[in-house]
Amino acid sequence: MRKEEFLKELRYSLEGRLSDADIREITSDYGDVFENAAAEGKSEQEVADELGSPAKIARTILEEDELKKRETAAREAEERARMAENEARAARAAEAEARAAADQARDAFRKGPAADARYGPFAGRMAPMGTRLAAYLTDGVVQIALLIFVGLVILGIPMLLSDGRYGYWGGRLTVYFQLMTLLLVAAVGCMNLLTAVFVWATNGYTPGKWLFKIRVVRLSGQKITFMEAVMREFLIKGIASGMTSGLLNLFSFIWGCSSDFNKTVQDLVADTTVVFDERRG
Amino acid sequence: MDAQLKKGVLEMCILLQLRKKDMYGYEIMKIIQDAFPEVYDGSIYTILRRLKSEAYTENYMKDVPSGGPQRKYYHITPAGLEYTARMVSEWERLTESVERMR
Repeated sequence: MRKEEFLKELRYSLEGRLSDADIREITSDYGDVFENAAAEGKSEQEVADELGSPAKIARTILEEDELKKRETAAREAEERARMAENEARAARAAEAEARAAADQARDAFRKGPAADARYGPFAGRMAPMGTRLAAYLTDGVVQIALLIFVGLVILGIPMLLSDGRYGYWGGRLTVYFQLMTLLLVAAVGCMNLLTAVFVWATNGYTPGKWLFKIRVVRLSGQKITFMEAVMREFLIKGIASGMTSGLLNLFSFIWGCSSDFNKTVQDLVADTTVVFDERRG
Repeated sequence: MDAQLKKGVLEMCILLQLRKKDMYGYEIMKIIQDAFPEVYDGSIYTILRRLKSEAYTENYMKDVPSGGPQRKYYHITPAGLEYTARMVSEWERLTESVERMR
């Protein structure tokens, strides 16, 4: 096989499978081999024998080309998948961020500016309504326990002293019992008055609130006044709620869950709210 | 000899030669032919093509001192040097493993 024949066969085997520029380059490379070998005194036939079949060379070149194309395609697909994944991750992150921002905005709206420095010494987190309910129920338990204790003292001690002989005290003991029972009934109503005094004296605590580390504060930041404490604890939570069979306190709780500053009815009247006691953590 | 293994070895040997100096196609071919007379099948240019398409080598044309047509020279790129180093260390690991098997 001569040079021209070799190159022609090589060209035919590649035609249509590779670009013209590639084919020109390849045939030129193999043409160089013949020329360089000729310079060393080799015949074209000898070179062609050494090189082997042009069809086989063409096949190797095409296989190589195919492999390269497949590798590139695989790499591109991988790259695309990675980019899609990155985009999805970015979208998820943006979504989470938007959700967090929305949550924050809703919280800020719900809590109002109570956590704002404008509210001075009482800037702090709003106490959740659940915690306030727990403190309220605790106060109820404390009040009942107190009543039972006082009742036992004022009614039980004279009873023990009488040693069962009621006659000794005669009518006077009966009068005492009647009077004390009346006072006790009045004390039930007055329990909230006692709480009001407690709130005023401790600047915002009831026993339940102390336990749950929350306290009543005035939104203006000033110390709660005695009259405000009485209005809040006695007139609203005690008398008014008592007259409505406790329905006012129930309504108040529900109202506080959705109002700005978590303001219940008693909070509205006294311009107060309940916050975490930051000093006690 | 396995085609893939042969291709890899020839590729490494060509790059090792080009690491010493720039060469033209026929020169590389002769060296490889001398070193591997039994595996040579004339497809060396397919390997050169591949190395160029991977940007491990680049070409330039240079005049022949004795006159005649210009020769296409191959020059190894930094990427090619890096690739060669990787191939050589892989080859060393491979031969070590084979030696341990004997």
